[in-house]
Amino acid sequence: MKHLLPISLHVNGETHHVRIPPWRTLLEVLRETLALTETKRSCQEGQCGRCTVLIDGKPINSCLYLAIEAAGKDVQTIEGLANSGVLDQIQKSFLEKGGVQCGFCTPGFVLATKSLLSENPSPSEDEIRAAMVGHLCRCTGYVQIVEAIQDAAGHLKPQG
Amino acid sequence: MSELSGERILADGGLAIGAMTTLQGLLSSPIVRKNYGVLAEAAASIGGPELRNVATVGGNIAGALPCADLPPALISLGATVGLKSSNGERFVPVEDVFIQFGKTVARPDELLTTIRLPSVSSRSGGRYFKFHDRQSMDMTTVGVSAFVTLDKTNHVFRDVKIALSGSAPVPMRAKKAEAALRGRSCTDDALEEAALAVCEEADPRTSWRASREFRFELLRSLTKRSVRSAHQKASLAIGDAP
Repeated sequence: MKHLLPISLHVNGETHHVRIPPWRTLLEVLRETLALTETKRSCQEGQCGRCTVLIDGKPINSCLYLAIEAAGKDVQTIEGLANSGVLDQIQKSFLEKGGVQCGFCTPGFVLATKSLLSENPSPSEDEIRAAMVGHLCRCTGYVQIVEAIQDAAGHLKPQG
Repeated sequence: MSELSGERILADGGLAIGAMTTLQGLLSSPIVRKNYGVLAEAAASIGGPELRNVATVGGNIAGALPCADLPPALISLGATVGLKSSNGERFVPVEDVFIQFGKTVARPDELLTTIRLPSVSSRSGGRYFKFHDRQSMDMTTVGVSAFVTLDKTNHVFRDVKIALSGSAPVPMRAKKAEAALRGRSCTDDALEEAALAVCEEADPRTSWRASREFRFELLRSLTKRSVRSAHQKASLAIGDAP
């Protein structure tokens, strides 16, 4: 098919050469072409935050982002967070504090937390809530999620 | 493509912003935060970080939605947009860009490439206040942007620009309210008159989001809040000036 574009996607440190139609979203390519299905498809209009991935460290809704825009950029999905089977501190804190219930929204929250803490290692509760406005959770009522983020911040803060 | 994002200081002291600058890019710009705070305030009120990392300044204008937040801030700052085609470029004040719901003056062969902001006086200040149901990730019911320039000694309104979102089929400027304030002190009476003038010239609709009557109530209170707060900001700026 002549409308297929060859692009290189750098996802979680690995380079994938794919041929895709220019209108495919990053979410579709991650899930359907690269089989990285832990990035969830939900509202598909930028309201719920479940499809969040990091592009060059910044969170975006992959349902509203064309895959070709990600060419040459550093894409991080939740699959890339744990290191050789050892969970990232943010993931540990979400488990520890009950920030995970059904788990469907968790990849988005965890990646948004990753970006928040890299820019602001000691966020206030208001700053945490402001950074999470684009994420819906229907289980926790958000309290445990905020606690998990505070816990992660406490562990990750540079000492001294 | 790269020249379509980012900012550039103009020879006349104004600022040119590329249409593809993201809202987050706008917010992280020191000069925007310092000199055009009302625009940063409007940008920060949109969506969440995931959307602001992708949504662009040009897109918020070109969509021509009545509830868009940047147009009122840009109108109150006296901004113009650059529309470019193979035949050249023309500049149109933002207040003249919108024709009807979802429609702008841009011709089919024209691209919105830049937004130009005039230089601002050290005796000025702007604020944007809006009402929205969920306080985040939702569309604006009514928004009011006020940008005021004051007399240096007695702090009366020398110049006032007020612009509205969610108050008519397109983002609009409230000229009667501006006229009601010019030359006056920031008193309760002056603010009330301006708020009533805004309600005279606005033409909000009833939708599932809010009734026309409720939007008038919002306009009355948000106009007073924005103008009063802009006046405070400008007064502080005058106090800080050497």
